[in-house]
Amino acid sequence: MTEAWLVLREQFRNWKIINRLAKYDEKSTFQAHILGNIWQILDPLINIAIYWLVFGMILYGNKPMDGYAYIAWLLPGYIAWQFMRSEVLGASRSMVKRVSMVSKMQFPVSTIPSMTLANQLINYWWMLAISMVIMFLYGVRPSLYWIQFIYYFICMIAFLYAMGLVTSTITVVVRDFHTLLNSMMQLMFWISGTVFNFGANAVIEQHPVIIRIIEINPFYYIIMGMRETFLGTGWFFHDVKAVIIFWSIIGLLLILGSHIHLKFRSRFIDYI
Amino acid sequence: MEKQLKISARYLTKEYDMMKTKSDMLKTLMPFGNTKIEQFWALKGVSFDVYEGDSVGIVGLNGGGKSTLLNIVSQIIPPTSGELTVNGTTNIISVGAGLNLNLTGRENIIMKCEMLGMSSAEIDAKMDDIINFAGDQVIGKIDQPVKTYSSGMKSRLGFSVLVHQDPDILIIDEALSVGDAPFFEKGVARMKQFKAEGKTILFVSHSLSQVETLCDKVIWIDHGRVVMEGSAETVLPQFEKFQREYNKQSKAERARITHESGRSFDLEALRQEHPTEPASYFQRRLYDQPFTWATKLVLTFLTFLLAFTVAASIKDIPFRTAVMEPLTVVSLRSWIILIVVIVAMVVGGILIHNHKERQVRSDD
Repeated sequence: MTEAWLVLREQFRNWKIINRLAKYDEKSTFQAHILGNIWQILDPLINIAIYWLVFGMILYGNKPMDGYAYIAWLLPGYIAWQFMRSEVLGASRSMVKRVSMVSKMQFPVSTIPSMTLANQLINYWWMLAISMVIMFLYGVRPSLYWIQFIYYFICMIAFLYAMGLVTSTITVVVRDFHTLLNSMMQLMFWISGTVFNFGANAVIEQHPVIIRIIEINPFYYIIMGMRETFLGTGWFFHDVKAVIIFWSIIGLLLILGSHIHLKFRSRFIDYI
Repeated sequence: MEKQLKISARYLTKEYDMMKTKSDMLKTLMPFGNTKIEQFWALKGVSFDVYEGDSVGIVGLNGGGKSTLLNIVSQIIPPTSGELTVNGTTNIISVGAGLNLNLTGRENIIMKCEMLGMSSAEIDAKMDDIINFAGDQVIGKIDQPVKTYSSGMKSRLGFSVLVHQDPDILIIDEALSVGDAPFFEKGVARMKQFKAEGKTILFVSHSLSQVETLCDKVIWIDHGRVVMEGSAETVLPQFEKFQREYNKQSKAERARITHESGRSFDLEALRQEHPTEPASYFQRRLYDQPFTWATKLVLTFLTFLLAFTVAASIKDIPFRTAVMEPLTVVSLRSWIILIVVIVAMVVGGILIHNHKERQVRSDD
């Protein structure tokens, strides 16, 4: 508990440094590209176009989802997924990438996963702005439900930071973990309801247990929550069980993560 | 005027795990269970004081704990136990300070300075000095990615950024061996300038002549303990004599001595040697402690809550019903089985733990 508190406090104290250093990630990744940072927006946009075509047009044949066009239904969940995916994968490599840099200086090492988070967040805001315009064109209008965005956003950040703390530390020791995580994320994509509407699936309607198992997964919780928020289909406090499941997972991840992080820190010179 | 105490170290210890394989590394991170990994004590209760304006050299054989001590004093790694008070900002200068290869030299300077907590105005003001200090080759390539630099240029750039910080306490770890002779001269001149400004300097070097020119006071550390502390004239000749003696021994013999000495240490024994000192000096820090009981309790509660809610969710029982009548979620028989299993695990865990402790004691 003390450990988790210590790590969290470090994030708030070094807020400025995190934000200032976040931009270097991008700069060095896209240094040799002509279009530079535009790729970070262009790449997800191309993906959205593909899913719209494959799922919206071909598979679902433009059938409305929860009363909206497929694209309007896809966007709020998809951009959250895209953000979470790149952050989970980025954070797991963040420590390996930077640890040699900070090994010879005083530096709050626990802020390294946050830097990736701050960096990815910039893209998320851009994507959110673009998709709001598209959603508006497809008939989505602001409603009181949009207030929930604050709640789900906090959920998302808490989950991603706790995950980042665990994965970044393990990846330093076992590099294979990143590769494993990459494959896991492939699976997560399909079972988190990013492009499928599980609510309107014949097989799942017959076996509702499947959806309840899928619901345990935090990615699903956030993606569905974002959808409910923007499409105005439900309030988060209506499902108390989901709230408890989600936050107890976060609590466990955070306590374990900060423990292994601090253990790692006290001897990180040995690991590299 | 009384000189201000800058660094005060009391009974610093540092324990390392001897990690030979990847799986050992993974084991050390595990929060649960006893892991039988060999321990190595790099520091065994080091105490010293450094006052404002002192320049202190730290000498010792390879593997004697000098670098560990510097890393602890500069707060890069925490000690296992002991008390460290540092009044003022520290800055460690060492070889191989990392640069981002994809960024240009200028961007790297800005990034490193930002990491060290400088404001944009300060960085702008120092930029030209830093670039000029790094030498002509670097000036020509300052706006090109660092991956095009030679290794000498990279280390000079890194060194240049570090010597342009303005700390109260400067910690130098073998850093003057960077680059060619003219650059070395520049480095020494800069150190002397720091000294003239009345800054506190901690200096580690294998070259005893460097230590002699730069330091007034010398601390000699061997096998994790302070052997001698005093003026350069008294300590250095003695150390040189010791070094000559030691080098006569065979390589295997030296390795054995280091290995043995790393194992023969006990925190409790150190505490008993100094009964008048507060017990807090000899307690392990947060980082090296296993989970406390409170944390374990919270973890168990969260796990239980998670399992219970998941069970309720899968059986599709409303939350209120689940809380009021927990038997609907998990039947009485399953409850009993669950409790028996948990109790068995806890008892088993305690037994195994005690058994292992007894074994460790009989090993001693």
